[in-house]
Amino acid sequence: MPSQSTVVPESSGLSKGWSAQTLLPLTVKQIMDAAFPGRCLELQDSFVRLVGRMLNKVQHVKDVQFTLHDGAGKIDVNRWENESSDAKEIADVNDGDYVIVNGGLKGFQGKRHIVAYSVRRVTDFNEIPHHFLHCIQVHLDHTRPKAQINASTATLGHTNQVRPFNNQAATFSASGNAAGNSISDLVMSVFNDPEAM
Amino acid sequence: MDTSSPAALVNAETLNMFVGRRVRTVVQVQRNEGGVVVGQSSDGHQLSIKSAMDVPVSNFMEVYGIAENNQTIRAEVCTDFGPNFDPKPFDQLCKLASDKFKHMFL
Repeated sequence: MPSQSTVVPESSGLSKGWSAQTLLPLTVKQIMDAAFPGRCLELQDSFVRLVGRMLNKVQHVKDVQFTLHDGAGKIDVNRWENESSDAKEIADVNDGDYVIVNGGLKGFQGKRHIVAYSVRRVTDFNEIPHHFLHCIQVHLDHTRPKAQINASTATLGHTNQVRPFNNQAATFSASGNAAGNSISDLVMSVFNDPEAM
Repeated sequence: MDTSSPAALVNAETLNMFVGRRVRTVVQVQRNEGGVVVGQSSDGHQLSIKSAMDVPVSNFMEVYGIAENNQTIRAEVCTDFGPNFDPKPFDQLCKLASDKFKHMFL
């Protein structure tokens, strides 16, 4: 799982201050919502992960261009083929396939696109809901004040213990908590479900 | 496939909120009745998928399409997600994506 960075929380969840090396799982909608004057620079050159369907693949001499549609929006992606392994990777993917795209978010004349360093075809479709749940979890991490995060982890169900989602699973009770905690509980319960491991 | 219009992530319960709009869901195929796939939604209800592709029974199928009513989707794009898809995380995602975190998806 990508590492989480320490950021200054803002309501949108896309605030300045994260490490430029953090790989952020995002939806296209989140990228587009951040793309208005004064905000797009905060995402400029960030590394992002998107999951969606490849459409309109066009093969050029040294690069491949396509549109990624994740159900929430669409964004152009460019994948340079610097080595034979790059060409092999992209040749494995065709129009209509689900792909995981890791790359840098770039902007030019107000339009955003991805310069991908990895485009991998999805073979386990469980990766799709897991990606979007990860987007929600990272959004929560970035938007909730640290004091509230600490307080919520201390007040969760007395029979349960909160662990980061990438540690061992723990059963989770989300009932009876405050609205903010119950949402986080719901997300974490998915990650901590033993059956999901 | 219409790439210009976002699709709401739904289960059977939240499908009701998006009748007439483009939606996206996953069902487990139960039977195919002459082009209409009857499947079980991630929250355990039956949905009818019109114009669905031929996906083997018991496999999971993702559907992009228009919600005709609270139990029927007219499919535009279908994808065979195979037999090993776990509907539970998807169901939790649908609940979150249609409520508190709707702004991240629509």
